[in-house]
Amino acid sequence: MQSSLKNMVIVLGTITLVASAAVGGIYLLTKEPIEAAQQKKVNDAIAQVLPEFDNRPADNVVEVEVDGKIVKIYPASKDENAVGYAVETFSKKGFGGLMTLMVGFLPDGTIKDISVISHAETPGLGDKIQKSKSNFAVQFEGKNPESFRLAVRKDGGDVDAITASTISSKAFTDAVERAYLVLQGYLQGDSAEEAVEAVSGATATHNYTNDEHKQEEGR
Amino acid sequence: MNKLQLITKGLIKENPTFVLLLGMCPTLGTTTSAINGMSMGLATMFVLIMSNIVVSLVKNVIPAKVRIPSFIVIIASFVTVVQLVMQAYVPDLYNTLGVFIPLIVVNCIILGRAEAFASKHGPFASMLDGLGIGLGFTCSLTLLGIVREMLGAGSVFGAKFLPAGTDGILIFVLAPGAFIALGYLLVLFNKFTARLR
Amino acid sequence: MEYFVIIISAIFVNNIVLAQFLGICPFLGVSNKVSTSMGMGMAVTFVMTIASLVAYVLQYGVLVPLGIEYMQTIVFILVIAALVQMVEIVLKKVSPALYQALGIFLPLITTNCAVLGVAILLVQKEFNLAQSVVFSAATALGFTLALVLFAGLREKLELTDVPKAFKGVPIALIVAGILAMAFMGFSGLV
Repeated sequence: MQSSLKNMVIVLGTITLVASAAVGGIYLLTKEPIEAAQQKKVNDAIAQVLPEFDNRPADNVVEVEVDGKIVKIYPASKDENAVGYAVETFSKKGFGGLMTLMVGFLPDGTIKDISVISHAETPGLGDKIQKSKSNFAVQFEGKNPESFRLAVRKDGGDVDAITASTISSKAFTDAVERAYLVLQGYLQGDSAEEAVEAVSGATATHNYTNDEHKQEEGR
Repeated sequence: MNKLQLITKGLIKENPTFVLLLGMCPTLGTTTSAINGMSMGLATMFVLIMSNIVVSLVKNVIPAKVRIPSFIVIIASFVTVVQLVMQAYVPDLYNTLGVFIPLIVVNCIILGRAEAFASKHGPFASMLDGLGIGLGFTCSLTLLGIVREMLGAGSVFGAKFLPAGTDGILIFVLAPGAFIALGYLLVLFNKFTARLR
Repeated sequence: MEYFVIIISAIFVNNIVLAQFLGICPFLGVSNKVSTSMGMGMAVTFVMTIASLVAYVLQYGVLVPLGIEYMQTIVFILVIAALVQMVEIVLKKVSPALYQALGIFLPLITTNCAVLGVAILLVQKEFNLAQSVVFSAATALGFTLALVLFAGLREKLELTDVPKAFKGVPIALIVAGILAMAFMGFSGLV
């Protein structure tokens, strides 16, 4: 077909309009399933990392803003007694970028279980942070960060890094530590604002000293 | 060319991966496992078939100078549809394939078929052409995925054949393995087709 | 420091071609000679940096405020296609010398998935404006580096005696695999 300015504008305009309308329609159709799929993922992760509960943790979620992103605390209870907290946490230090985890804590701060919600780590290396791929995440279970130092051994902590995936291991540990600090801040302060203050205050004092590092190596 | 040839030509004679060497980015980037490779192939095939049909339907009203931009809009729309549907129903797979799903839009195979075939043939033939080339692409990706997963992780479609606790040759799941595995597959393909001729 | 990490990571550790598999077509297609691969690399650097800037502005200035982030793919590819055309026209007028050098590569860039890939990645990684520009420029430099290195290897490869079935692309791919392996050695840098 011959091109003239008029028919070019009309045809391209029409195609763009029809295409946008069609995509918009599909967007509206898939909007709910997409949200449901994301919600289901979060709910499944909560159920996986916590002991048995009978409330709906997602209804009582507490959101705390740390480092420009939201950390969410889902309190779980059974027969009105608190049985634990699931904390949706993140780390920006992953090899492929953002990593999101769900960390389950018992009321005393002991880590119950950890589930990876999303990650962009290298298949075959960094993706071993997932429990389905390796036992890396298992070493956190039953540990209380009060005594279990959340840093890889190279940095003077107690975490055994995945071979050849130190960056992913560090990011994972970073996310867990963030979850723990936010939760502690929340439990002590009982309000989102105080929790943030506790985190920014705590991060500064939470660095392990070099002395400990040396002891670790000497052992 | 009869209808059957339209479908089967993509497998060997005009195989987009092994003969035409098109769409190399998703070929190398998503074939860390058989299932990932196959899913990527199927997603591409869907876009290819749909865009081929639509392009052949509207080919007569598109002025020559805006042909390419029009094709790109059509292809990009179907890619967005795939993105939305995958997010809704297979979110994990969507996360695994990551940036390569939106990048279907710049896969040279799709624009190439729209330009070389669909803009000259009717909708039905164009659909078969999309199906044929799409099948060829899917088979190639699945094959490369199987090879890399077998060597790299010791499993096929997630079913592990090595004893638990042992790994495969990890390098084949990583980036260098993609290049090397595809290189050797190409060699085998060349040998095989040389014998056919 | 933060920018330094982004730069090192984009050029060496997460090299766009050898680790992320974007822009493979020009990597295999335009890498027969070092000089042409230099030209292609420069053209990509130019377009990628501008495209990322524009993509960033569109994403946070138009798509997010309107709540239509799902239109990202369509908008980005159209903008990149239009941008390449514009760069071509402007370059022709403003700097014929540069146009002579880069002109033939420009049309190839529209379907270079690296350009669209970087635009999408910088949104995914939630970079701010300055980070986005640094990231895309560094990524493009990484692309150029991989392309030039590979072209150098292929020039040598032309002169070697390889088995018939390996000739051309297969041996090039295997060499690219070894180059990728060498780049994996950088992963301890960040």
